[in-house]
Amino acid sequence: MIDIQQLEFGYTKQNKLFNHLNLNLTEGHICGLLGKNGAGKTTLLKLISGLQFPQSGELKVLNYHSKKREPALLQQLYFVPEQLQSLAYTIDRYHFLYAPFYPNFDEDNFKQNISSFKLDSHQTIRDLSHGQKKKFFISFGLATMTPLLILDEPTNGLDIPSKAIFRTLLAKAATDKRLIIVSTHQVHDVENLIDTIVLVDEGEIILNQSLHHIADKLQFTLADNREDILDCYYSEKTLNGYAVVCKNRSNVESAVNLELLFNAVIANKQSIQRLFCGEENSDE
Amino acid sequence: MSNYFDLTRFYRVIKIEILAQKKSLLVYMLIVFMVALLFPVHGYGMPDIGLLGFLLYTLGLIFTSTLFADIHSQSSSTNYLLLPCSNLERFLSRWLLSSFGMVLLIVLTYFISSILVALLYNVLLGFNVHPIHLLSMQLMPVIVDYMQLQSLFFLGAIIFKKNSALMTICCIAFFLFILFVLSPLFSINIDYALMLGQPLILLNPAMHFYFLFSYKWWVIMPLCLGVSYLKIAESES
Repeated sequence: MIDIQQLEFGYTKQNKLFNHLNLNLTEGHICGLLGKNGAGKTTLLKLISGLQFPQSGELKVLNYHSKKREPALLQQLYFVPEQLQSLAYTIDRYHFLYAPFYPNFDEDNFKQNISSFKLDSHQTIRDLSHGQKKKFFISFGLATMTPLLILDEPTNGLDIPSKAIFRTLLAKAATDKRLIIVSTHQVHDVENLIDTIVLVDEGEIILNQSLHHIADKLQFTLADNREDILDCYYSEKTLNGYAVVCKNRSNVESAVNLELLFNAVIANKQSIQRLFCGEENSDE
Repeated sequence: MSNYFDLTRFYRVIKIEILAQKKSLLVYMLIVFMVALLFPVHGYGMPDIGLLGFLLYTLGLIFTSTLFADIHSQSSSTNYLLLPCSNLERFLSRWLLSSFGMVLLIVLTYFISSILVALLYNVLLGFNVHPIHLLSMQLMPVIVDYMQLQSLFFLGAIIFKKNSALMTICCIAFFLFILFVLSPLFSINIDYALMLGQPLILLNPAMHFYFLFSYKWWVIMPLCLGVSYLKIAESES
């Protein structure tokens, strides 16, 4: 669905944010896009949606060049940005004006989403709080049923109950034909939701793996002593000992802790990349 | 559905544009009515072209200059640029609204207001006031001039992030000043060219601009609109 080959991009010609970036994402996944501040997550999402243009390389979304912003692609893509527009329309009016642009728009799903988030459809979007605006645009985005849905920091500004509602609605909206990209710093908000991790660091994709594959290769566990964790990629002191990320030597899959994974990959970029490429196994 | 132009989709886009500008359009209509009320047409009902032209130029150009505020804002440009329509539809909807749409709005509001004002003055106050003649031939040059000047402001609104009306006026003034400074060169060249019997336009590159501004307004207008279309197509958020 998303095919990026040798992409180069920078806000200035001298400082390239992305240099020879390659990425391939397929439908049927909820993909978590993680990275530090300024790593280029939002820029990558903007490049994918056609809001920014690559300086060189190829970027195709559903076999369309996204920079051309052709209606055939745009009607299959919905992007909920982090900064939302303050429109002078009511929710009903926005729905009336914008829903016809999306051929698979699901009216029932929209009504259900709006009622789940307890939004009043007669309210003007401009008058909504940031969190309410987020809820509305997420509701609309989910109901568009576009094959590609991009959510940039969707849980920012949502209260605790709304985060749970968001997770439920997102899980319902996921289908085999849909790719949902969620860029977030709040990894716990999407921990049991995403099935693929894309980790961006210093303009590079340092990890692009399914959670199943990650759990197959890495083990996330608690250890009492530091000695037990010498062989591990990453450890963190907790109240109960050490939270560790190490190579999965058993065939048992542990639950992936996204925060630990993120820190482990950032700290041991090359060795973890080698592990997923299979090089480390062949050394043994 | 065509990737370039589709009538149904275009109708949807223009509907969004009109509704987004609903409030400012109503304010402009109110201003036109107030002006018609304060300055009624006396005598034989000849249209006050100067006043109508002033209203059309002022309100139309202010409207045009504020039309692309969303494209310069990070939060609103996403909504505008990712609306599932073609760049041609995006361009045409705003251009038609600010050119023909604005002409229709101002002229018709002024016409209807002048009828209402005439009724008001004649019946209530006993003054001899007439509504304007809408089909006056004097009206056409005003509209044509507006359309030409509007294309410059349309481009200015896309290029300049802030104070686009002022910046566009400054650019036009600067450009005219340069032409004024260079004008002695043209006259020398014209005389020289006439003496040699050469085609004037080839003699000096500055002649091209002189030629454009003096005689070929219709070259400036498509040029501005063409560049505007490209700027919209190449806008990034």
